[in-house]
Amino acid sequence: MPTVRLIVPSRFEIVEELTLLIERITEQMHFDSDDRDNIVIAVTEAVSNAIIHGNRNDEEKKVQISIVTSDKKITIRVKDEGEGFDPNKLASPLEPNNILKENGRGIFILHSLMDKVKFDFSAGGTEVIMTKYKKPLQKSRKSLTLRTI
Amino acid sequence: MQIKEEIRDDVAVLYLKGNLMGGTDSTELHEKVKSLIADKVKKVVIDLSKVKWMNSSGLGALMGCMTSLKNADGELKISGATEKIRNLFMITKLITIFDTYETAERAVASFKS
Repeated sequence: MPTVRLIVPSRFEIVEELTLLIERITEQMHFDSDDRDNIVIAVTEAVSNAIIHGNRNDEEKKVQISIVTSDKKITIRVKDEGEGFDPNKLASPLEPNNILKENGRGIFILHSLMDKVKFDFSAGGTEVIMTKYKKPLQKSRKSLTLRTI
Repeated sequence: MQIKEEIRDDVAVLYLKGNLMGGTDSTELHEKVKSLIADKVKKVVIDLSKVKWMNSSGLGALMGCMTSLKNADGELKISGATEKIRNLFMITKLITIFDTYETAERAVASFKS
């Protein structure tokens, strides 16, 4: 399966550049525009989290990103060099006590925008693994053409 | 991200252009609002019509601006949110917190009604 692997420093300019890359990949995969937007935002969330909360803005620490694509889905893995966290202990940002807070929405947004989100802490740091499936009619331009005929 | 400021009577309109995704962009926006408050400008519209991408850091920056204004007896209104930004407001339920308008003109006018 086609794979893109990147190892980048913990700098915010990277997040901007990644939006362009993910836009291009998801466009080539023929995701619809809503899903393309959702994937781009989810990737910016995951990488921002890795930079801020994982690597604590330490530019010496790296963020590893891998993007695996197939006819049916895109899977993006984002790994930092931080100390990890307990996803079960995150408070819901929708609770009345939390809704006015400035922080605490990143992981919630990941879960809302992607079809599957998992965390792996086994290799040190935090690795977020997130997947978006293509809707049946989006499978490929070729299959759309065949349907039309 | 660029911030263009326009003062209309006693209302400041901040037109943002680019991405609002954390880092210095979020800090700059909050600092801008704080400087308006220091200058006694407490009615602020943030126009998002030229913001392409926003994530939770951008939402946090908007919340920070809103809180600073509220603490100073001021008010924040949001205009021009694109569909994808409105979608973020919806899923985080911030649509119930932010006072949103289609255009900056309408947001400014709402301060007078």
